[in-house]
Amino acid sequence: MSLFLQRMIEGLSNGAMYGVVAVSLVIIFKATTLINFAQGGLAMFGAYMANVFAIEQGLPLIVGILMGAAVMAVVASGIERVLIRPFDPSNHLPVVLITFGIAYILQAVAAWKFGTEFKSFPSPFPAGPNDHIEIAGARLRYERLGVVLVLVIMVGLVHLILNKTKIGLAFRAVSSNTESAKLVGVKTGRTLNFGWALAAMFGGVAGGLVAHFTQLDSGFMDKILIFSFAAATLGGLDSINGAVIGGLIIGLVESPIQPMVRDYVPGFHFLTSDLALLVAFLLILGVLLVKPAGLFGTTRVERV
Amino acid sequence: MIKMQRPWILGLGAVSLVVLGLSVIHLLNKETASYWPYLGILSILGLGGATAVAQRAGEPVLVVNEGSRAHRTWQTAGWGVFAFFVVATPYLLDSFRVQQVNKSMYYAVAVLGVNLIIGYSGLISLGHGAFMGVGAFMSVILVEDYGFKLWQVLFVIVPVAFVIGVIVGIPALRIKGLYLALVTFALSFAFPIILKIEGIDKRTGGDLGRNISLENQVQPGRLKGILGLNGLDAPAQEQIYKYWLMVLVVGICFLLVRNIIKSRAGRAIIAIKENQIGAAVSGVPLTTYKVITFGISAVFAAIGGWLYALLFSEANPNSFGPLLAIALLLALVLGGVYTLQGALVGSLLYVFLDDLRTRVTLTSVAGWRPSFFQIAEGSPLTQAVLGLALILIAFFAPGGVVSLARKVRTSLIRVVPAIPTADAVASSASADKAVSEPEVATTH
Repeated sequence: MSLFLQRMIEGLSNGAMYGVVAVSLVIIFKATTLINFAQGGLAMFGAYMANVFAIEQGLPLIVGILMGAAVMAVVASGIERVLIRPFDPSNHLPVVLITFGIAYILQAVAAWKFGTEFKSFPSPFPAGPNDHIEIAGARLRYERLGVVLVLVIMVGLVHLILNKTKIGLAFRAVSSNTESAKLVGVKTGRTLNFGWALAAMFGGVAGGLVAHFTQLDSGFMDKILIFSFAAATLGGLDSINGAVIGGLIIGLVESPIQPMVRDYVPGFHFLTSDLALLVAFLLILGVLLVKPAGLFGTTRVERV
Repeated sequence: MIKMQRPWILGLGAVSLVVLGLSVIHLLNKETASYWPYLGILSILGLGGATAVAQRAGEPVLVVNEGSRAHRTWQTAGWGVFAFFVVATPYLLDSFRVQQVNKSMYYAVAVLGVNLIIGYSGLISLGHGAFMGVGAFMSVILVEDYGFKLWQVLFVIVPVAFVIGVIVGIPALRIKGLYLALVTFALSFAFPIILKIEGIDKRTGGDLGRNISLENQVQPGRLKGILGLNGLDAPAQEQIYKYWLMVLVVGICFLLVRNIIKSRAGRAIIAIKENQIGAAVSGVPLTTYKVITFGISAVFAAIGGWLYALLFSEANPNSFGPLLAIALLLALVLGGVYTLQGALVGSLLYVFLDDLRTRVTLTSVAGWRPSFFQIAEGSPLTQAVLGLALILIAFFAPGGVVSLARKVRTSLIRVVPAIPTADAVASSASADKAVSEPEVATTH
């Protein structure tokens, strides 16, 4: 029982990480109805920037992560302005190509500039051997609980920004109807740019959090990105709360089920982390077959 | 009628084309640290310049009538040059290069399948690497465990891949747009994992993959003399023999796809892409056609996998993951979405670009060395070339290299379409009737 609880907490914190990245995907999807395959690369780069600021320059880690995220926000708004805005978002293929291209380039530059070996990365929360609380025999580590806390803070923040600020209002207007927003005088370009920056900031923070658990290298976000895709798809690509819930579901399903399947179902005992990918795939396939727009997504009207 | 003005533009274009070809050959022969890359870039600029001048002038340099003797001569010459390259390529390059050409041919068949889905029916699929894997693994398993000959496997692969494609295609009816891209991308992550599940891995070889044992591999047999292989070393013999087998298969596949696209079914598929509602109103059964297209495209991807097994005599689950899916997409867009030749051109470009990036370094190209650009050979930064290629293509050549080349050609040379005579129209109309197509207007 205590083991189960512990695994649930681990799953929850994994899910929180997926959730943060998934929220960043959803923000971009809401703004431009496109999927940013470079989000993992941006988050990875953010983590490296945090590494530069915090470890090499000696700033406090939290400041380093936030500065890394801020740098990525600037980079992302530049990318949006130069590479994304010239394209018609309703034509998916060019934008898919561009985001794949950015992902390739970010990975290559990171591997070139920061080296290809794995680097360990500290946690912004206490992560010593004794930094945990015990509930019913389960050890809940602060580093894991901290991730969930960050998710709560970030989602609260994004709701505040979207619902209480002027640019948030503009963002909601643009994502609900770009043409009408333009007609009432919303500067759509600037608003979308803001959306990209916000998403990259989310990604950057997520990168800084994930790096502690996976170690830092140029591809460490790839797997996380796939789970985040699954999370965002599960919740519906245009629902922020859906992304969070999707992330938590994927995390919760993956973490306790994985050891159970491994131990009790013949044939799977050597599959460890890979099995989770399979579970995530089957989950989104199943959900999309029943609800093509995800659990909380807006259903589109189909005429044929 | 032939009309020519400002022939120097045509000359510039022709010279640029020749220099471009020469610099490609020099790059292939590993002479990277020379001025050839610069000449290559210069020749591309030359072609661009010629096009720009011709477009500025508003009329092409050369105007020929379709079907005139000059036009037919040029066309025959074009096909002759193409045939010359097809025949000469394996004997001019060393066996390592021939293997690369072979590699781009199995890519080309798979990319044909991807093009049917992405280009012609407008669904974005990132899962065709998995279909290739199905083809490759079925080849290895049937040959090794069930005593099939490799060519016999093809008759099993085609129906099986079609059924699998249809099964994967059915969810694609409900899952739309980018959701489909995500699900198929997830499929290409899941596929290698499925192959490694215990029980299945007895057949697939798990993490290590499986080989086709030496006695079951394809060997150049009695055809040695005809293909001019006598006297060559063993790897060259093997590669050239496989080259000819692949040319045969690739040729048949291209013909098939061309006919599919020009058939009633092909027009229906394109109609669905252009305007789904319009197509439905015109009586196109959407569901059937979408699912069948998925099945057919899976068949071509699986034949690509079969060629993979033929070429490398092995299959490894890790080779058929997401990277392959992205490579197929890259090859498709490099060559040109929605064009037939694009599959082959793009695959050749992708394979050689991927090889080139690991060899060419900026310092070796430059000779001139600003400190920032000192990138060692094999540096991870070379990976960025592929990313850069994707972005440049999306910006400057959304139709890929093929449509770019077409643009250059049409701005330099215009072929005036022949006005069909009454006789020709009547006879083509009766030919249409013979295959029970709807009647076309016989008056012009």
